[in-house]
Amino acid sequence: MSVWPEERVTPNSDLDTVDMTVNVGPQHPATHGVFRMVLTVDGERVVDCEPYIGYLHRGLEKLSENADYRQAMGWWDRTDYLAGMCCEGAYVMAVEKLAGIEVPERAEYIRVLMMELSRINSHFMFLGAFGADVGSFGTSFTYAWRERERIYDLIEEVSGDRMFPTYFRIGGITMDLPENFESRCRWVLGSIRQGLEDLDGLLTGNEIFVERCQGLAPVTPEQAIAWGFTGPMLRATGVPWDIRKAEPYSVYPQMNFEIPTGHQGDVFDRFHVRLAEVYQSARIIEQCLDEMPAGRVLAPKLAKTLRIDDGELYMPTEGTKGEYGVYLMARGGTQAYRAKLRAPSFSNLSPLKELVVGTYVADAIVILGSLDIVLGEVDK
Amino acid sequence: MIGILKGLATTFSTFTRHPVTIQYPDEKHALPERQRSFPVLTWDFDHDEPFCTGCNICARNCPVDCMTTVMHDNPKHPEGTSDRRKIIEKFWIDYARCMRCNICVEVCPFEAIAMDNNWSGHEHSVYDRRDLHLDIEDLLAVSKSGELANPFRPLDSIEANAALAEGEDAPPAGFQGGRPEARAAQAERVAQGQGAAIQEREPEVQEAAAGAAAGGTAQDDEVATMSPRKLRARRMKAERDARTEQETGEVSAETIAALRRYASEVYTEITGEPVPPIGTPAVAAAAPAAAGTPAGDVGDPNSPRKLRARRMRAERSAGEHLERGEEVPAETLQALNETESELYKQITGNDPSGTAPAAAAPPAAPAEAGAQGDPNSPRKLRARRMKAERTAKEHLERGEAIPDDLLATLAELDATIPTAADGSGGTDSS
Amino acid sequence: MTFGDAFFGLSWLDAIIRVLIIVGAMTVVVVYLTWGERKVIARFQMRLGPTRTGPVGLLQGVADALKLLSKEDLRPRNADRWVFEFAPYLTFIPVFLVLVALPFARDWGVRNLALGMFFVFAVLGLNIVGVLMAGLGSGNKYALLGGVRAAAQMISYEIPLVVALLAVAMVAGTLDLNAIVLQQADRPFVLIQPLAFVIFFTAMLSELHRAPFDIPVAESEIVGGYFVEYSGIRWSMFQLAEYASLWAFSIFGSVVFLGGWEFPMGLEWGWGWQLALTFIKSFIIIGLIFWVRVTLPRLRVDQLMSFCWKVLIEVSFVLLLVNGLFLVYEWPEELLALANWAGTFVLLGAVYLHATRKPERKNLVGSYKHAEVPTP
Repeated sequence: MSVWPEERVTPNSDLDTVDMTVNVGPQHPATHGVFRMVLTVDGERVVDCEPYIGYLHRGLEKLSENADYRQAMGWWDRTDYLAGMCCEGAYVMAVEKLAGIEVPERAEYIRVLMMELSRINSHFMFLGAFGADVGSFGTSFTYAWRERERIYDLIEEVSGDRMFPTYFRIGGITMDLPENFESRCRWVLGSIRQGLEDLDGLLTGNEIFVERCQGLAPVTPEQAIAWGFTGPMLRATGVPWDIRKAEPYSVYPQMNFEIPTGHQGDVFDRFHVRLAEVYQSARIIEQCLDEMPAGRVLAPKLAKTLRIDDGELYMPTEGTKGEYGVYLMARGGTQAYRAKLRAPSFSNLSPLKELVVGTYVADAIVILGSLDIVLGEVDK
Repeated sequence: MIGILKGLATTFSTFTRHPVTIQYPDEKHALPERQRSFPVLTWDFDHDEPFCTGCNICARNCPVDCMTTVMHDNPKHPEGTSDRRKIIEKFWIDYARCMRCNICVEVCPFEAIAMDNNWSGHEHSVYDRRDLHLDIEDLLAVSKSGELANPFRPLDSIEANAALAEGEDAPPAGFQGGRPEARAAQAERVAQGQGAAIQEREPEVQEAAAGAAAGGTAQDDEVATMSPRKLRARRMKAERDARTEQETGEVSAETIAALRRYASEVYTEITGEPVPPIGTPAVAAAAPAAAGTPAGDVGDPNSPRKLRARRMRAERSAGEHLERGEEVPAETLQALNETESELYKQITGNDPSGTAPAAAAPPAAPAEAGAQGDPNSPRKLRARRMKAERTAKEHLERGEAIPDDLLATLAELDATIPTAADGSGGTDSS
Repeated sequence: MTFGDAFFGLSWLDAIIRVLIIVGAMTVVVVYLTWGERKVIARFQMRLGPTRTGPVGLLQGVADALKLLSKEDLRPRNADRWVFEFAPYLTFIPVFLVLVALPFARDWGVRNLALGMFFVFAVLGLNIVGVLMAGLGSGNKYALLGGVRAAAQMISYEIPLVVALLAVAMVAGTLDLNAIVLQQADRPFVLIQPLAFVIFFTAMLSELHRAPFDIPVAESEIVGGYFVEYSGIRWSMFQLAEYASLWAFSIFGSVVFLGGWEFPMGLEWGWGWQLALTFIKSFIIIGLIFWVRVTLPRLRVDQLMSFCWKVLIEVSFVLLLVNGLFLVYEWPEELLALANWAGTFVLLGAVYLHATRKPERKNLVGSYKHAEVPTP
């Protein structure tokens, strides 16, 4: 079997042991997407870890250079496919800022509402899958999925499609909210609270869960910043950095919400931070519903096909996994000259080796789960 | 232990709750109005044809290039049951490529394409990926059958919202012609014995039956408005067909009619009759074709739009000639004359007469204006002369004597007969 | 029918017939346990379980069995042939032997052994041999890893299991299972020996490789564990062994702790009621096992081993000592019960405190909701 790297002998041991190579391959129930991790284990301890990515590379940035701004949006949805509208929002806001288009206020409120719904969606996915990684046999999975289905139904009512809504457009949104949206949204928020209580009761206080997760792969704030962590990974270490507060965009300055932080940046804290963020997102959604102004949803007098003169811009947004940044360079014409995605999952995944070496194999899986990566972003 | 007990209590409470499963093929959850599955074409029940005219805007705007369209002239237009001159002939969408982004629906100016918001739009599973490449009949089936009961137009929402913002009333919803009410109205029309389509206006009168019986078809009338290149192409095709048929047997009547129509010399070869001028209908001896307006496949050749088009074409080609400093050829002048172009006055100093082609005074040249124009025009003469001189020179280079008929041609064209030592061609003598 | 009456007077024929009845019952129960587990777990997770195979999915077990029968019987080239092939049977036989010793109704079992409990302990050890054979004989390093882990787990947890049951046997004064049941006519032993029940339950979960102790068969990590190389019928033997031992242990637990076939009105109402009681009680314990499986995450192997050696064994030995003291000095039984309940709370409290030992974690549930952070 020549597929594996050379088997190494662990030095400085009295026993003549040989390290084993465990391939947590691209098809595996534990890796969140097509991701390959080659672990070298000495007994139960992980000695080395080599991640392989690129199985989901679809050429997003190159495609964006060959399509005009409206056409490209459909592909940006598919990067963080768990939270479609957050990605759309980032791209569309970058284009609007570069083109100098002003978006009506109602459209901004609706956008923030949909982005926070997508954030809740993504965090529920994490909560469900993380419980499955830790071993609770899929119960957390089904609880999380119950709520996600309700959110998807809501998104379907608004935009027509569940996962890839292509709902935003440059200058506003594609269509206004349907009629009974507000009551349905409040009902879904209530259901989300119930789902969170279920997950909370199932996992958070559970002694076994705490034993598994606490103290696992702690990260100091300096390390986190040096590694380029953003989002819940960074906030779990105690650094209160949230782009919605630090470099606000859209109508976030008018929203009241807090930033949950952790203490020592271990797996347990990351879980908690994401759980708490769902509550905060629910708060934001309620404020949007209460304060939604009437008015236009699309900027008037838009060109049929948008042309942007020379310019470049980097637009950071708080994506669900961290800082989802869009770097856009235009040189006239209807197509972007360069569109780059700064994917948070890519940066969060990079120091995997540092985090995993020295832990048990089972813990390696749990740590990977706690990073909450989505391969669409990592591979673009 | 408390946490473990709390977990147990949570799972127990979910045990007592009703499962949230929807058993898919037996039960399906209700799809919202805005549901987008895959694009389908809409059927215009008022006119019993698709809305789509094949303008290709959707295909151009599609991010993944999943659509192909072919348009053709609408046969219902001259019948008076439709206002669309062009209609879609073939339309393919590759559902395997479509990313359901809704851009095609947003950009279509005719409300011809809609997203299928029924369950059937989602149930397209096939065993072979090539079966996902749907053609126009499949695309129209959903709308024709009435299953597309409530298509949603995203711009309706935007327009309503904009209208409300301005304080006006919301405009009516889109996709009116494709809705079940229109379908019901069509069913009623059919039930009452009327046609499936609403008659918009009087049908354009077709050519006299005698003319049709004797072979004067629409194609004869089309010839009047055909461009020279097209005529030449058709003539060459007819000649080619005639040659092929000659080899295998007899030339068919159709081909002879075509040869005649396009003023081919081969016609004279085969039948011995002189070639009539272009545009003369088959039964010139019988009723004059100008009795009724010859309604061909493309409508009245003397309609204002056609006249205008011809005038502009003539003006354009005249302009090109003038720019190059050449003389404007006679047929262009004639066209300028007929279409009452001002350029005619500028060039010749006369007012254009604006007469119909049938009544045009025959030009001074003895030969009728054929497809290629006057064969004795200065340009043609010069071309023939230069060709003759060139051929003579080739003969000389090969060391042969110039044949007699070539000598005769050279003499007729006032060409200088090259000698062996003469390296230059003839001069331009006109 | 009593133990005394042999079928047709021939003891060997009687033995065979009884064994066949038990085998038949076990097969049916195991097949429907697979269905039942999937349905029950699904209801815990707010979904339906199997619904399409037969009405309410009742034929799911049959469908699974047919599928497994039709699979290719693989044997890896590196596998040690006889070890590989005999391992499933060796895992299954001890389970069956346990069933042989259990009483289902008054004087009805295959054989009523005077040393019933001891016999059960003895044959449990054979399970471990089977697992080790499977791991070693597969010629696959992941199977080896899983097999060794499983064997270590089973050996470790046998000790508290045996000691706790011995404590109960001390209180009952006999190792004969039927006699133990008869002694529970007034009250089941779980009421006076709850600590022993908790220890027995935990150790049993570990012997059965069920959550939260299912690290050897952890799907999301080393997929499959010690039976990763088995397919088709051989794999189904492992599964059969697992579910059969689940059922066997549940009956054993109900016999020793819940009053077996006797507790309410068993003797008065005849053998039908006694059989029903046995089944109901064993299904209660099985339900408890499913409930725990669905709720709790998995313990890591070092946590598992440390829990056993640092907590359970100490507590079980203390239990044995305390029981011994009470019995020697013939203190009243109620005091014994009280001591036992106190012990149970001490154990559970110790687990809780151990889990919450980090001082930062003052208030686990809900503390994060109010994390106040100064905004920049």
